[in-house]
Amino acid sequence: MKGNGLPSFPVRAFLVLGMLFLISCASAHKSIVIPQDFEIGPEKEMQDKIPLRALLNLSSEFKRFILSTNLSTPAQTKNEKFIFGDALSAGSRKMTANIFREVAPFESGEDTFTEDDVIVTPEIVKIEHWRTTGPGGYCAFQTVIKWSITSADGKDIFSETIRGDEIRFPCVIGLAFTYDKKRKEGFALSLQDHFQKAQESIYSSGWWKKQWWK
Amino acid sequence: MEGEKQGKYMFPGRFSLITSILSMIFLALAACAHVEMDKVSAEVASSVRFKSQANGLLISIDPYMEEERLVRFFGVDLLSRGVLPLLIYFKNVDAEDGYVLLHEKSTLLMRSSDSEIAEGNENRTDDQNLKTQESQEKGNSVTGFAAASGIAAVGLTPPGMLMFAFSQTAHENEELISRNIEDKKIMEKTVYPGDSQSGFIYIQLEKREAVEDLVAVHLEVRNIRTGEIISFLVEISEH
Repeated sequence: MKGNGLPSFPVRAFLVLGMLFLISCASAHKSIVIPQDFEIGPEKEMQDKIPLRALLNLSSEFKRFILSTNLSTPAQTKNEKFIFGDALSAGSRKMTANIFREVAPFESGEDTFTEDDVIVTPEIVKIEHWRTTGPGGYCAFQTVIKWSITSADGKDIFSETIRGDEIRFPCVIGLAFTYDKKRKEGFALSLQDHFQKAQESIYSSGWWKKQWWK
Repeated sequence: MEGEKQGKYMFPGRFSLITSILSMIFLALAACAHVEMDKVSAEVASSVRFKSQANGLLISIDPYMEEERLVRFFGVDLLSRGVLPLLIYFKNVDAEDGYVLLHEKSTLLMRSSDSEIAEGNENRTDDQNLKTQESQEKGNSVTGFAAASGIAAVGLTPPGMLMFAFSQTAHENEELISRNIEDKKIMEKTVYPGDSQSGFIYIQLEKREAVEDLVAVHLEVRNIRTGEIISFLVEISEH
């Protein structure tokens, strides 16, 4: 303490850091929205696109997908919710629009299907995050989705389970907001990797070249 | 004199203290090192040893039995834990339709201990001479490696921290091994003409020695258009 009644600089610095630490650990409930501005491409030229209309069948579970975690270590908050729905929906629309001649949402009651329609359905297998500590430690983010394509009258045409990965070195946790930002980015990049692989695989597999289901 | 004496006796004490600290640091670093596992490239997968081709479809199989290779790709000798990984490469060379590999129906054909097959019997794939091991493809269930490491964390004193590092890293390594097994697993895919897929299936064996009796692997694929099932018998033999 000095004459002006304020604590010395080291003490003040310690107090500020302590408060920051407490703030970062105090939030017991938290929602983190995964961004949807990732890049998937390239978009095929119109003449190269799959000459069919994709009816995108996004279930309500898919559109509102939330990953809930319960972490109880001192450095991390508890009861976190990662909100994926919008990012998953946006990625699915962009990916299909890149490779199909036309994309429309699937309406289950619709009775005006044409033989050029196929129903494209994504189904989440798992979305998860883990990290390792020590030298060489990293943060890993993984998105696994099964894509199914059926004809309008229900014939199975194509399906594939595809994994998207993002590994980040090193996995320094730091303050809570830094860690949140890293995880948000990590999840978004694993989604981007997934949609990129899905686009390449669905297009290159060639299921659409001989339209046997018509 | 006394000072000199003290100095002489102090030196080994300090030296051993420093070497102890350095040893602990090196030990801690070694303990914290994570297990590293190789990936299987598409080239490796497509050049696997044992093949069977029919109806424009090709299936190749490479059983991972060698300890060195198991450790390199899985971080642990999986066979010692009773799990045989089979690398599968499935290609639609020029079949007309799309096909799905029904990997969950994989079956091993084993040489029966009481059969007459042992001495180079030419009919060694004859079902009468073979004992079929029912499909025990492990799939998602090969996750038993995340069990407790058996090293307890006792406080956060320096030795305790070291123990904690061991325990934490051992636990993480077990988890990484489990995840790696899962990531290398073959996934569902409809394979159309010109396309292919590869990945591992995991077979649970009763005992490690059973691999010596492995004669062939039976696999099935389904035609997505007609629903027809086609069987493949891939002989595991160098001849």
